[in-house]
Amino acid sequence: MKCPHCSRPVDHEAHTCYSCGYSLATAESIFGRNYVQMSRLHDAAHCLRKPERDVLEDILDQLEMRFPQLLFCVYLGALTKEVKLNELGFWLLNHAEVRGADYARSNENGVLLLIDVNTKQAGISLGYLGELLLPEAEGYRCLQAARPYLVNGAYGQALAILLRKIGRVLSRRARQIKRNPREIEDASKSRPIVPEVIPPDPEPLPREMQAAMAGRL
Amino acid sequence: MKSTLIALTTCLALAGTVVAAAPELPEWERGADPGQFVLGGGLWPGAPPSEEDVPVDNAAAQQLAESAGAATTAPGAPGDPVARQRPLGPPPVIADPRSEPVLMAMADAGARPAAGLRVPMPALMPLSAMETFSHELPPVAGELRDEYFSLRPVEYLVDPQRLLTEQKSHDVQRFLEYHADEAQFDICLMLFGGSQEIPEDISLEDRHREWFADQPVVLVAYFLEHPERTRVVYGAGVRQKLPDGVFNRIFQSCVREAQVAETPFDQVERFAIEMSIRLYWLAKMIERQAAGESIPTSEEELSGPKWENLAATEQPGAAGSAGIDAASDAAAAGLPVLLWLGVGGVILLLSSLAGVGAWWWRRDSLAAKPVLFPDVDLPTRLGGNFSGGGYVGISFDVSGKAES
Repeated sequence: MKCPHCSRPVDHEAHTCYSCGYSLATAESIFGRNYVQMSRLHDAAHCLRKPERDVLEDILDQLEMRFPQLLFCVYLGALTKEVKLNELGFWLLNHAEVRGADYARSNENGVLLLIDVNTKQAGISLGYLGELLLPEAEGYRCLQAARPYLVNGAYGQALAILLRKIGRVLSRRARQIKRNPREIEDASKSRPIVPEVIPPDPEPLPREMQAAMAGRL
Repeated sequence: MKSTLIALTTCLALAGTVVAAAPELPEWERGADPGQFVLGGGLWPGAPPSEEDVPVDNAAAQQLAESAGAATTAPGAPGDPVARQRPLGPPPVIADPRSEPVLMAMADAGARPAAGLRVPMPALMPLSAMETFSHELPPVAGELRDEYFSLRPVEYLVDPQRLLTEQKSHDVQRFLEYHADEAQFDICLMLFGGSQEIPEDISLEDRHREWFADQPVVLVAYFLEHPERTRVVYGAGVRQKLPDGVFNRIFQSCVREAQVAETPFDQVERFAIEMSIRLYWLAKMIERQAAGESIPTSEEELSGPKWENLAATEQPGAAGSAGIDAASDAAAAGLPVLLWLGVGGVILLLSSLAGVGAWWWRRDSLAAKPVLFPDVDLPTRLGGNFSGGGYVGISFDVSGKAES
């Protein structure tokens, strides 16, 4: 669990980032306080063709059939350099409603794939449940599998591979949780190592300096 | 003078003898009673047109030709002369409209008969190759039912309705007779119309038991144009000897073979031929089973070369004609068994590995059954109700540097 702004670890009950003070209110000051609607496959950059869209829709259907609780959505945009993709993902999961998503799939269970074709960045924003199901290392591995296609600008293929990889990771994770149901509860209660906000007390001065200081005073 | 008188008397007597010895010619049947004499073995309507029915002028001939054209499009309609004169025989047929019917061409192209020429009945004209049945056949009841089921069939083809053409009927009949001479199991083929049903109170199994008892006869109730509705009765003795899969396989093969043919008449013939072949191998199978061999049950085994190549393996003396000794005979007999066992083992191993691989791959596939995760109460952070900023990202800018 890291701060979307400064990437420092954040406690799971912190209202603001201990380091930079970032919170949803900060994101709202950038992206707006209003709630928005997005489609399950939101191609704001217009870089997907019809066959690619069809394939991705099929994969999304399969994912939704396989994981009835989870919400899968994709956002492709052409963003400016000032906009950070992880902040946008953080804001979207808290402010966007996916059209057609049923009530059982709340944003809390969301897995949002983000691609910025301008700054050449791709990422996976996760809801609270998604964080427990998709560990950072596994998510990174999924993104690396899709990276060659992203480099070549084959966004449709990249997203297809990414979604399939995520599906496999989630399947594995489901098996692990089935074997050990307490694992997910333990993961939800584990606290990250948060850096000290208040600097520690300075070390006491040597006696000579203390005496000198006392004599001066 | 006397000799002249004798010669004259002789001539008169000879002429009277010739007149008295005139041969009795057969009388044509009357059109009013057409069903009693069926010419052409049921292929054609029974009576030739009577004098009253035959128009002798052009207007009447043209009118009849037009009515013939109407008969091709709407046979069996009230007032249709063909329908009125149709005897118990093959069902009325119409030409396929796609194949330019002859009758329509005659009526429309102005090919009118000359004055005074007798116009033949339109239904007697040559028919197109593509023939379809134009009316529903009567239900199997009353006399028709008795013709089918009252007595044991005396011929191998039971077709009292004359659904087949004469030529095809003879072909099938001759084939079934030939099959009965050659094969162990005879075939008794009962032919019904596609729209007909066997009466509910008729049990083919009971009829088979009553008619054939323990004789090796296969009773086949075939429905024209619908080979898939065919019912095949083997008798209890044969059914108990072999598993059901064998009989299902025979039935499916026959139906599949029949459906290859285009016309319903050819379908009957193909069905009978395939049934004959399958029954031959069925008899062989029973012989093998009686000899103590195991009977294959799966589809692959039944369709495999083992049973199809029985003829090649059953030739007596084929193996021994090489003059090899007993030891080499035993080795030759044992080698194929080991070879087959080895091949089977390898196939089994490969299929097992493939199965494990498929299971391994499929267990994480998206097409597997749905997965539900446990509900967990999760605290919120950074003011987000649904997400706390969990994110994994990379850069795919070639000039840049990937970051996580």
